[in-house]
Amino acid sequence: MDNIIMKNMAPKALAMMLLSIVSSTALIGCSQQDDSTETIGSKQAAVQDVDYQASRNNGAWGGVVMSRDELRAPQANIVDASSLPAMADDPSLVKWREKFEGIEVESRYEEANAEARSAGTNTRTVFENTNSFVTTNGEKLYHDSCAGCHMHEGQGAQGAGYYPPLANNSKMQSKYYVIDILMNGFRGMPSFHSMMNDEQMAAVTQYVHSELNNFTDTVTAADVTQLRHDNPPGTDPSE
Amino acid sequence: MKDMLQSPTRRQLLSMIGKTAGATAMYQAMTTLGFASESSFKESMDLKGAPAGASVVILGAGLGGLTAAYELRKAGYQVKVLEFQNRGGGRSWTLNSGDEYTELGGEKVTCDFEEGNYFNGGPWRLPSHHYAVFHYCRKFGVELQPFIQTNDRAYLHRTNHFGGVPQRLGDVKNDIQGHVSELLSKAVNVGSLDRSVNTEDKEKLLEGLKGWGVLDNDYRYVTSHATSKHRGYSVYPGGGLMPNSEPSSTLPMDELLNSGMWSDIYNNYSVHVHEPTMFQPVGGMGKIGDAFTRECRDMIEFNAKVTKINQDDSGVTVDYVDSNNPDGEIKTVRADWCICTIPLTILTQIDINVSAPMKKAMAAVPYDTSYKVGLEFNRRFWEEDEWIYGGVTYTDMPITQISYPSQDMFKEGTGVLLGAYGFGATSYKFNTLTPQERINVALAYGKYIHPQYPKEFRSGTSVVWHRIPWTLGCYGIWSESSRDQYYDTLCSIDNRIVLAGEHCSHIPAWQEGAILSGMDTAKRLHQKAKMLG
Repeated sequence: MDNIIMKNMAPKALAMMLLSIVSSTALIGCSQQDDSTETIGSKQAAVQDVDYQASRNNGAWGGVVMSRDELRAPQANIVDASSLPAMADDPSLVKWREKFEGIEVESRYEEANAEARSAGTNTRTVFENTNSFVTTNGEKLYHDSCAGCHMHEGQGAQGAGYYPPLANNSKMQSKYYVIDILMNGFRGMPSFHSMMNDEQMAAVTQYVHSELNNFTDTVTAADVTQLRHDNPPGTDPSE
Repeated sequence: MKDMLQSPTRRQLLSMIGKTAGATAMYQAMTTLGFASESSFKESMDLKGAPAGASVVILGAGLGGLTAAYELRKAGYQVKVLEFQNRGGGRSWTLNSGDEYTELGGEKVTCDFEEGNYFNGGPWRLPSHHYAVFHYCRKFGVELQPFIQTNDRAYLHRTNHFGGVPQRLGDVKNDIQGHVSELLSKAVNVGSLDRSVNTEDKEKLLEGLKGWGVLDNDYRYVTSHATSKHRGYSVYPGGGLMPNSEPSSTLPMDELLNSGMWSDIYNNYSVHVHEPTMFQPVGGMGKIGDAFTRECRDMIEFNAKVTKINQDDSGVTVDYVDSNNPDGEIKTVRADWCICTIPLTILTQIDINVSAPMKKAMAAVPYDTSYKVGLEFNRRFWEEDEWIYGGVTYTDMPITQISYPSQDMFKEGTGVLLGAYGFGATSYKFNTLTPQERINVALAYGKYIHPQYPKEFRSGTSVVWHRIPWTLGCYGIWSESSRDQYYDTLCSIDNRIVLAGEHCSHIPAWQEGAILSGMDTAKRLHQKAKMLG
């Protein structure tokens, strides 16, 4: 879809578009520059039309695959992606987008945004995939991390070894005990030091403390900050 | 001229670093594998002269334990191996058609593939320098075939770049090389590198950049027949009156930089553990575990769950129960020595009398998370439609990667893809899903790389390592600091007990690490046993 939009754009418009993307992503850490400044990227974009399907299609045309006549006919993509919904509109992804927590950002394709604006709707947003915990909802954090081992009901599990239950577990009375284990790991359990921030650790601790058990302390990010240190055991500061 | 070139270049580079740092963090867990050092295997072992009647009990029938069992029996020891599972080989394991297992939490995972298809839920590829693995494969008759890690026709994919369309690895590699060569040659030409290179070097450098980056006479990287000679044509050369060849278009540099695909190349391809040639056993990685099990079969007692390890001045007593009936009768085995390869996740929960520093070391190694999903399809569309024969596609979607089978190429009919494999927070999330949900996720995202998925899907299976009852995790995570503090202690012989396994190696997660640990442990234990007579 996007490649068609790109194809139909005048090279100059395309260059402007790419330029604006480059400049908006490159403001970090060095002198700002006029948007009209020529860059290697813009120079090349100006002289070439980008067909995103080309990389996959290349090599399909000619040789044993197509005759000269066939080659003159309009080219189809080798893989028909036309039935694919846009990711943002894909019903089969709704649940998983929430589970895997992409971050919603404005589309980097200004054309799509312009279309949306002219139609009076919001600018097009897209999902940036992440490999991280984004939410600060303690219940979600529990079901996205702890539940892998301690199970969704907090009942734990038993195999050659065991994962202790977190529900109805008197040890969960001390919020500091829970935070300490999240921060430092415990025996085979990895530390969440670099995977969850103070607010997230507080939220998931609160869930374990109050929802899986009936304890009534309030857990705050400040409680976690108190126990946070630079180098948790089992991780390497140089990595 | 100078200003025009320098400033944007720096700007671009900073933007690039930002992008790649993000991607690097994303693949952090994977690159920890890349830190693994080269195998220290030198030659086959030939231990001789066990003290008369000396005995060893080995806990765990994975590759570490069975290597030690095999070598020590050869040296003359009486060896008994206790194994929790009803099979040997440990993580050297393949799910074959018809297999099933129950994971922690009680869910059943099935493998309903067509006969002959399989899925490696754990290790799946062998680097050329894993000499110890190859040594035992040769010895035990495990047939190996090439494993294709790098295939320029596989894809790199970013959801929000290149319109979400996957780009061929070869295109990305060639174009990054070309663009960087162009930039660097410009820097050379305007004298930016005059402090680093003399005039003669400069000429050679320019010549090299021109050839390596496929630059034109003005040192520009632009679409041409020359660039197509490297990245491939849009219309390939044919015969007779077939169409004339046409060059393929190079990808724009800014989009390449912004996409972060560069990081895939140095994180996943140009690391020594993924360097071509790689290998895999014919018929699945489990063939290695099976071969070790076959060679050691008469020493192994299956379904033995160890409950207590107690050493005294003259030997070690191990209590165990039937894995399927843990409340049943406690059995006991006694030996002069004990090699324990039980994963530390489990060992730290077992009653064992070792020294305080050893206990501390055992508790200092957390186990990493990982997930894999195998997907079987009606036909090999990646080959038939897209000319992808083996290799790995990397994406920023939660599935992280798709790997194409290195075996059975050009076969009519079904094939199995590795449809998801990753680490980090995404892996924790995968570990919380039901087996069916994992397959659903792999299909829902994977179709954006291969739209053929919905039509061709047959069946799927998966392994999430924190739910595997006999490991409770994937492999031991070490850091420089934990190695400094605990590694030597963990590997030392604690009176009559010594640990072995991938967690006692500098190559964690790899079978080579487990085997080398088994060999080294057998050797050191033998020395000590001989010394004490």
